[in-house]
Amino acid sequence: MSAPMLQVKNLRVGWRRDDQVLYAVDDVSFDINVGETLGLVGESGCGKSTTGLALMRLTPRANDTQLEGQVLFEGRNVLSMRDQELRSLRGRDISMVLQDPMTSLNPVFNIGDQIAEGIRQHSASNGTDMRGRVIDALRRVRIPDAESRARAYPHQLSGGMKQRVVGAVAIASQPKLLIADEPTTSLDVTIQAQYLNLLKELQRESNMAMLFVTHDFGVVARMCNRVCVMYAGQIVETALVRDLFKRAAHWYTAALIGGIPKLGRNSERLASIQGSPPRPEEMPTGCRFAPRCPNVQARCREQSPPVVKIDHAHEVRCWFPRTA
Amino acid sequence: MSTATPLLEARAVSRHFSVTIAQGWKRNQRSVQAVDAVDIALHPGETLGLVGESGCGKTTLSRLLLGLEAPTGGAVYFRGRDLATASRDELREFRRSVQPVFQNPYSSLDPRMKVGSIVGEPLRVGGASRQEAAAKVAQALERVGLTASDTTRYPHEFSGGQRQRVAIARALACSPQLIVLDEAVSSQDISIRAQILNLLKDLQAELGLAYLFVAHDLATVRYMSQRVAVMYLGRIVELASSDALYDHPEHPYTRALLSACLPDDPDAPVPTDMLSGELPSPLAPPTGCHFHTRCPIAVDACKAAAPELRVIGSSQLVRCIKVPETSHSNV
Repeated sequence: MSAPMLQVKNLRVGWRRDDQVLYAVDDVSFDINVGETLGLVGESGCGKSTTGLALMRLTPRANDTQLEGQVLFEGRNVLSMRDQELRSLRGRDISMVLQDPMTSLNPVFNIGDQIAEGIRQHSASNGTDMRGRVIDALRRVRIPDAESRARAYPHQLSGGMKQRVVGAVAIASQPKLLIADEPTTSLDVTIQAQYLNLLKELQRESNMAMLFVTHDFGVVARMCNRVCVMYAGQIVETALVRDLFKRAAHWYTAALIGGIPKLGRNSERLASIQGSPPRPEEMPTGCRFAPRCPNVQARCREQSPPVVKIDHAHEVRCWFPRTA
Repeated sequence: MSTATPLLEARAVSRHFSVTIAQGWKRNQRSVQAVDAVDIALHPGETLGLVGESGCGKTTLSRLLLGLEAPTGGAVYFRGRDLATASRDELREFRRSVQPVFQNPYSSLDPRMKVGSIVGEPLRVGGASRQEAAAKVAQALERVGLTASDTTRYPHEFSGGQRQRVAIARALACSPQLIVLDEAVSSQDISIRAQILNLLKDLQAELGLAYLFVAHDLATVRYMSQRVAVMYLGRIVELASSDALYDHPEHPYTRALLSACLPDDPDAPVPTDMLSGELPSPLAPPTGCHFHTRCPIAVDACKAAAPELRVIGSSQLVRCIKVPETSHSNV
């Protein structure tokens, strides 16, 4: 097998607060292969969005931000790139779609200009050629009547259409990896289904890889090949999608999946986890999930668990994993 | 269905908003029919789910039922009394018995009030003495899994899930019969959402509460509700028992909504009958059946006249002329 397109090794993202460093992302490692869709799933504050930003080095560039570890894109470390290399990486090699299309688009430029801006970064195009490429990008995201829509302003489009435009900006330069951070959270169910289908079709057309950052296990089930589950800044389980749903090895994953109401008939009560996730300044020693874990043992409270491989492509960070 | 007087009932209730649209120099007055002649009844102890996409009118309908919005047509009846002509005392009783919990506990709790005052406010409005109120506040907080000592804390000291518990305690404090939950768990994380849903079910079993559960997530609505109403552009298009609606959806819009839902199993097949297009503007809803522009089975007659709600099978109400009188739910 060829080397993965993207390798993340022991990534840590932290902020200096007083005399200590608080890590929002702590020792995260994963790979993404060509054409694959990897899910990064977890609850708010678990560090999944920060991880996505760090892959393109878009975390805030202040003196108090700490970035450690390696993000290797086709063998080159993104974290040690110079600005010029970063500019050619962003938008061309790796692109991003964010949650809220209202804030991703600039209200005072028409959408054609905003798509062209991205293309201009990576190639020299003259006016007519550029117009063709903009319209082509709009057509690829299935926007009807692309010629006239290119002159529309964001406020003239619906939420679903705006999110398609954000998609058009992201794929205009044919990236190899698309990071999608909760791209459908603000959309209605029927529009969400259309948008997810569109992303799948775009992926099939260009064989691009995707990293899907989401809190929604339904999105994971529909879109991903493999998944990483994050809790309190760490990846606690990595598995093929089917294994995750059928044979979750981490107690957190199992409780999360059991806590989602099903569309079919439900049992009387949902599984629930007591308490709430820890804050970065008060991380428990030992396993970070120990205070909420239904199967906690003395050792869990004292020592951090190692990442153990329980099967091909199935890893879990737990002293006493579940056996299905 | 019970023949007793419903706890709360809307009969042909409508709410139209007038909006001004600028077209160049011209200002045009237009009317948005946010809720259009809706009939709905809530019985003691039951949970009625209300689903639909954004802009379908579900929040306006819940505000009408809370008395926060006055209807422009039809009327809302509390225990058979029209709210528009009810006396002061009857209105006071209505407001005590029907309580809201809103979506966002960051904006629905006053940041400058302590939790004790927030939860106690509806009691003091109702004329309870200080001691009486304090006892009921403590009881309500304990019911939702907080403690009496939390009364001296401010909302910012609580997490999102705990704040929503405070909002539920406020609703519970004056012993209501119905709680209107408008997207009350939508902004919560999975693990917190499961806690709140379980809590709501426990409270219902313990206190015999009725809920109007307004949400856009169909799976959560099924878990919570005995009956479910589906809204599309201001009208109820289908109303049935939860099992009938989810197992045998009759209206083409309900079917489309259900097939657009994401799977809870990665092996689930990707549905092929995906709804195309978007919700039409409520400013200019399509003629006849509002859904005909996106409907896979629409015929010419659908554009001409708005269909009535008809009974299909035993008790499923469906607003569609194409659904035969006897359908699968007849078994």
